[in-house]
Amino acid sequence: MAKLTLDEWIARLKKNKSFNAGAAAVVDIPARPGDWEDYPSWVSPNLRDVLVKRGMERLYRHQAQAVRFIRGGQDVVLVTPTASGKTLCYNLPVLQSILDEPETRALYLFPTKALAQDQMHEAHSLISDLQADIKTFTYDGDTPDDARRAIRRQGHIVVTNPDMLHAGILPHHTKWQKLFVNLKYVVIDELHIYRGIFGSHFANVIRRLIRICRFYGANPVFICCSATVANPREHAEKILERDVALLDKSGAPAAAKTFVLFNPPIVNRELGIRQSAMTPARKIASDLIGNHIQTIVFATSRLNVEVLTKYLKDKFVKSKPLDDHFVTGYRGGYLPNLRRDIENGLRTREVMGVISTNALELGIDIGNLEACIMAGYPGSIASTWQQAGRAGRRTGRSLAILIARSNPLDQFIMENPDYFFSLSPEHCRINPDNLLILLHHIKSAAFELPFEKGEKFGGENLEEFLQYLEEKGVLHRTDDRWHWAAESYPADEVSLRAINPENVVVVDATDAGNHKVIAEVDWDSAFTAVHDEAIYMLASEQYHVDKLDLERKKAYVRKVDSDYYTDAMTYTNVRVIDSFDNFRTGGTIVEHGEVQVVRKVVGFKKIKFYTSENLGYGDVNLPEKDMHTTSYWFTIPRDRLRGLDFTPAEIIDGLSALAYTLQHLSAMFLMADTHDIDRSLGDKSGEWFVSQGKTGRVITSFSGGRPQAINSSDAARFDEFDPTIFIFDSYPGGIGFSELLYREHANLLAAAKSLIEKCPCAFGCPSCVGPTLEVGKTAKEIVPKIIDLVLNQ
Amino acid sequence: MKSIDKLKRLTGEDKAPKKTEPVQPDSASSSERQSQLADLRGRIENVVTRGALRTRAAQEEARARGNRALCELLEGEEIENRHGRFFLAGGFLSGVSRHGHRSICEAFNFDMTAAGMLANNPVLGAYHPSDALFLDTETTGLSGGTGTMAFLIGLGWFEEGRFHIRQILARDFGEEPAALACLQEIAAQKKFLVTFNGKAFDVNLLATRFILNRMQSSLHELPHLDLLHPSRRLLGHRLENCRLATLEADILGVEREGDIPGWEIPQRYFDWLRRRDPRLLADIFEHNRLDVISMATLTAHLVDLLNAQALQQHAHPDDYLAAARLLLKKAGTAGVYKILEILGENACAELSLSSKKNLANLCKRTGRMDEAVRIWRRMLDCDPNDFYAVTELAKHLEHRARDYGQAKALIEKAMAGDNFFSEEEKDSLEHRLNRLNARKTL
Repeated sequence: MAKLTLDEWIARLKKNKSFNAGAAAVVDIPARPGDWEDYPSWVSPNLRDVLVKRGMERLYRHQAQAVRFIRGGQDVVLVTPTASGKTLCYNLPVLQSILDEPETRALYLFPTKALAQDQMHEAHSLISDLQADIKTFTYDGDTPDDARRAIRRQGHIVVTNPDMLHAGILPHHTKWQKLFVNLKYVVIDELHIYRGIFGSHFANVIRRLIRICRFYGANPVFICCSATVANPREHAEKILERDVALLDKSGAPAAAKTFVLFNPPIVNRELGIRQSAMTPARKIASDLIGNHIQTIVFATSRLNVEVLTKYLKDKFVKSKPLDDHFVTGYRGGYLPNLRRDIENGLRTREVMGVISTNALELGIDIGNLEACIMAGYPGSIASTWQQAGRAGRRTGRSLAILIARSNPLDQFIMENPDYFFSLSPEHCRINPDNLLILLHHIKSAAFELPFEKGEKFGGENLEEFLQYLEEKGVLHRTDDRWHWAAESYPADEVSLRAINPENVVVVDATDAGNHKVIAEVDWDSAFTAVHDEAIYMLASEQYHVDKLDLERKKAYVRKVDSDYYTDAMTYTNVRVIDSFDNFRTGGTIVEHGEVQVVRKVVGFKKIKFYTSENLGYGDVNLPEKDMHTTSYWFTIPRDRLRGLDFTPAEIIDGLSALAYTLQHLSAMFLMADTHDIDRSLGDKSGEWFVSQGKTGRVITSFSGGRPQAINSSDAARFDEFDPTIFIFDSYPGGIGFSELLYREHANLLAAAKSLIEKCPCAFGCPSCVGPTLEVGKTAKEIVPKIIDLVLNQ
Repeated sequence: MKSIDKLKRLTGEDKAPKKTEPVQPDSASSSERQSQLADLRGRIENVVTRGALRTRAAQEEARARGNRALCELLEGEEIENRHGRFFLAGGFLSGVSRHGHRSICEAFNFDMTAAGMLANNPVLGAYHPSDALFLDTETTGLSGGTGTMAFLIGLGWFEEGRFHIRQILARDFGEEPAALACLQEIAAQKKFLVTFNGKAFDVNLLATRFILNRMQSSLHELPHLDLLHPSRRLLGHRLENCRLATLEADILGVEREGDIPGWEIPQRYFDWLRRRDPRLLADIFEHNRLDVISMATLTAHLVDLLNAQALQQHAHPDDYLAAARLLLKKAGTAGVYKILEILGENACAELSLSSKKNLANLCKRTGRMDEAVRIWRRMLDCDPNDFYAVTELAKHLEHRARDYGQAKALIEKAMAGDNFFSEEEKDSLEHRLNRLNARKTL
């Protein structure tokens, strides 16, 4: 059968009836002409020739503006789409400056090692065309020891990641004296990645970097690049703690793109269940790949990547004598060599289909793919455009299809395509003064240089922290300086990306005599991913977890061929510690403040491949985790709820449903991943909380000091507490989301009501109030009433 | 609420005191004891930590008292230079003082050419042993990085038949610049450094400290004999590890009594900072002093090995073998003869099989074929099927002695009996045999 071109494929798609039924929007984005400017006069003829030879006759207007600012010593943040030549905006002034003054040094920061490698190659190829003596190196955990000394002394451009800067470079800054003394430029690419917890850590690493630069008398220009977000300038200024110029008008021409929003058909109107996004993703991907249209599929979780890879491999590799590489998975956790292999295979078109987590969302060079399928909304509009941008980076038409899942966020996008196409409402949020994060970086900074009296670091009272650390015996004060006075190496005590720097290694014990480490799982994921009896999936192979040994930080697994995977169930209990602020509306008390959260993995579900049938449950016995964080919450007095014409059990179901909707909408209001915030229903004292058990909703009481489960049909107990819905930050100390949500309380509830009312389902569904099986048949009816009650309408 | 109190709540510290509260009303006596204990603990805590911080005056007073006591306990004095004050202890060992197997005068005049070979830096050959500065530091940690300080710098040098020792102590972080200036001043008068693992650790660390204090230093530019590497090379074969303490015990014959373990040192210094009790530091001074002296005698011992002059009872033939191989690499055959003479044939009996092999190879490479042949023959006496000895001897008989008959007989004998030659070895021997047969018929 003749293969279709992408244009033919799209033309055929547009005629397809069942596709048109599900298409919420098909938008043809036209090509956009470019806007150019001449090279500034200070660019040396040699460098200009090299760029012209690469087809860059002139600069895009935004590039010309950027290099002008940078040359003039102005810190900038660049916000332009993929393939708009951002890299040149910093490479040009940096290279020119090194040509002018060979002692000049520049530091490039990328969020991942892979991106750093990629950018190093790009800079390297420019330099070799230039035939200049400019040395550029990556410096990360993989850099061999014997190369490090040379890099420290000779590297003009050092390309690294924040983790390495934090634990490898700043604590050894004296070895980098040459770099710091001559540091003129710091490039921070993918700035929008530094949000939430990671961003809050990152801002502190930058505080430390600036502090060390000051010690060496350097005052580098900061060049930040970001994907499109609502507050790039504010975000950059919050990280750098200084004024930053914003450049957000791209002068680059853009190729035409067809963008489709696709909502899978409803398969059970009663339960409001839509077909899983994975099903159309699999069908569309296999059709595209079958036509040799190179395709990338983004799945929303590691698990989905593995499941989808297995399906597509089954289709393309097992039935036909095709290379194992024809379709492949890609995610963090794959070993670096394998990942380089896959990236290379994409560039050479040996790999026609790749299924990835957002690991490939960032600017790793994988060539020009033609089509991009997103199986599930990536969580933010910015990410969606980034992912869509992986198809058709330079020329020709490209295709992007966003397939919605049955959750409120995805459905909100499907219901409101204009919202998606017309604006970018997401904000990057960080809280660099989270007390725990700040404390940690104050320790690291003290290790790097003694603190002087009167010095500033962060927004809190530094001297209070220094005195605290002095009392702990970690710092020693002499005259007006605080010195590091402990044997430990504080940068090793925390990871920038996870709450707990510890990892659990996954050991394949299939062959008893030959144990092999096959993967690593971070401490917190370990509780849900590799608990006893879980099915752990890696490279589309399934492993049964025989034993999770928390003490030795090992999970022993055995290769199996099972027809199901597992999904962990957790319970969450919240207690208010301190209310920072509150207001009353319609008898409801709305507050934000500090809470204690206790979480425990209690069991897991076994879910069958392909059919997603629930095959049964298992118990998990792991210790609970306790943290203090910040939360937004509101309490509805039981007397007011009693006025509703529903049973207590139905009301509890309705409240759980409302919490479900609010969590998902909150994630959209903030630019947060859904696991950065969490929800809970209970009471303010933490004595009562509601959770989903094996068979139905369970109210648990802690009143006797021990948990005691009560079935929600036991109406009497419902009257014993005033239900409170908590939406909280999933990080100790909080990331600053809750105060924002507190202020958005009315908008948030109004959006929830509108979402539920617009949803076409009959009784409630995962797209609005949550699955009917979990929230009951009356949830859709009762939630708007509860919202009216809360808003006093 | 102060942010620090919020912080304590986040870390769970605010709960800690509650746990110690008496919770069992049924046993009054135990609860009473518990509350007494808690009270006592609180008071100790106050005395130990906060007491010292209470007021600046009290702090100064404690410091001054500690410093006076330090001068009394240790032979040293407070020195002031343009960077401030610090504590300097000093003394010397006369030529007749013993340190392990040696007396100081026996360590004094080591051969500088050999020292240059040990350092892999021939520049040393132009200097004199009295140009050496022996250096060892005690630090606030082993992790390295900018947060580790060298609070005690031990120095030693030979002068007029005596071994001089200076120990520079920064009694507090603030005294570091003055201490470093003193180090710089002494180092400026010396031409090269001798350390144990100083390349990777001490000198690196000191370079960082100079930078952090914005001071210039020439320390890391001095030629540097780091004894760790030659020690490992010459003596590592018979030691459990190559730590200085192990070398002292097994090679230098130094016995330390009541020596402070290295891992305790940082905490002792932190305790000193808080409590200002000089007894905390006395053990560290002694530990450091012995380290510096041991480096001097270790240098002499290693040089003697290279020069084939080591005291017979303290040198193993294998040490000499290692020394000979080092010499061969660095200086050609010249120095090797002397060692080979010492080793001679008598030593051969004590050597292991692989050492015999090494020795025979050395003899062969230095042109002492007769000796090599004797060693091979002796090896064959013990084991007629030793592939290495059979091959080497056959090669010798074939190519040098040109005694094809004897070579052939040798191989045939080896192959005839029970042997454990591998297939490859058999092939090689057969190949040689065939060639010999061909030559014989010519």
